Amino acid sequence: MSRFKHLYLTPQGSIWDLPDDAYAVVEFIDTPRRPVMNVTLGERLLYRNAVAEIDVDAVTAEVERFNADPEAGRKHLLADMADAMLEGEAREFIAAASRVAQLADHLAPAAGLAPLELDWDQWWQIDPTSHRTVSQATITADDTGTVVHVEADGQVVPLFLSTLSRRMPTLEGAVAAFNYDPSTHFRALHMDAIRKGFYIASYDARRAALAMTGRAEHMAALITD
Amino acid sequence: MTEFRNLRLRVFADTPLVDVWSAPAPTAGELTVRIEKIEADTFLASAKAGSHTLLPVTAFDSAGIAELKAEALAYLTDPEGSWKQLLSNLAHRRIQGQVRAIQNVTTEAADARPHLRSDSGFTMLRFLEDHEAIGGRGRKSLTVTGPAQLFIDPDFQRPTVTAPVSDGDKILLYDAEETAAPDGLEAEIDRFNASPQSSLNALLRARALSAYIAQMDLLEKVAVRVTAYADALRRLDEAGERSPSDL
Repeated sequence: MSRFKHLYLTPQGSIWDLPDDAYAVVEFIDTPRRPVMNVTLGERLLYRNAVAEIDVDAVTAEVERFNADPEAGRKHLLADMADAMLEGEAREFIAAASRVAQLADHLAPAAGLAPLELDWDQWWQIDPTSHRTVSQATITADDTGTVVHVEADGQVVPLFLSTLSRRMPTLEGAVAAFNYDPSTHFRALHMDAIRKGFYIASYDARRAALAMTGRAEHMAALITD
Repeated sequence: MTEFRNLRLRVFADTPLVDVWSAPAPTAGELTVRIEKIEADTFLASAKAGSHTLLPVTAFDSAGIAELKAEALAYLTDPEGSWKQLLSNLAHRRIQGQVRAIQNVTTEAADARPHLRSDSGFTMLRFLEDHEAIGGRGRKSLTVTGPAQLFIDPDFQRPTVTAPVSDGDKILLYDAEETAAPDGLEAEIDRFNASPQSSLNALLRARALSAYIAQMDLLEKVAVRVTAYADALRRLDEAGERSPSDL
């Protein structure tokens, strides 16, 4: 069965529940303004439009096609609604993710301690309640590279990792700044990491959701056969 | 830095969110705090900074009034820094709301997903190659100009099915590393050829849907990450000097 051009479901009530044994019913109703054609499936409206503005025969033919195989018809209507909803959800997702990224700009002043940062793969495992017991940052440099770490409630947390053994002046300066108030700066680095996470998530969401909406347009073009 | 517990930016209909973020910081002279004593230890207070309500009329005891006065004094001392702090507090609150919206959207998408029909009706034939006519957004689908045909690739000795399309090219519908066509392939080709354009559209749709579903998987993963970040932010707030109820 090919898809329907006229009949459609809108999300209402228990949106995914359709009566198992119902057939589509056509009614012509004289409203105060003008006669309308109504098609219902149980409690759900499948079509409603002014008779003067539509091709009644085409809609009736589609109703007959639905009633010839209601089970397949229900699946098609649900699939069409799912398509439409997902496109809408994708757009909402983009909007919400974009707003999160915009809001992230205002979370707090940046720590300004580059190149120090919380390790990208570990930061969310760090318990923020340990911020009050953050040690001074320590630089360790040897032939294998340079590491800066702190201890937060006894947990060793790297703030900088490099395979270069040469100590950089900017690193020394950042560590000195950090050590002026480790607890506050640790919190600021944590906030930086969260902000960066929101930015990247927003970018990923936008990319995926735009691809989804593009696909949805393409699929809609293929339903018209 | 003073933590603002009583003064908060709020988003009202008369102060849309966009204005809050782009508005200049109200100056010290634009801060208005009204305090009225109504009983022995009960006061009514409200505050505005320019057109932004920072505190609707609220009852306080004398300790609360002292706290409010300290916050007002902090604002008067450093309007720019205080305004940034108020914006930051608002951002914290609203991010949690936006992440809940993302979670709701993801749940609704997950509910819709089982109803998508990604089956083309064919088990062996598939749309196997990128084609410039379907690659771009908004472009039309391909037009089939003849029947699909099975042939044995002379170079690789394997069965291949192609169909001609309107730009003179052929699209690949089957290509397997076998020496002979599997049972049922010719029957599928016959079924395809009974209605070539509808069949091709069904294959294209199935292909588009599988890509669509893959993007949904990505969005669900993003939602999980964003939720983790929001949770980390909430824990960070709770662990810091202020709690969410203070924001």
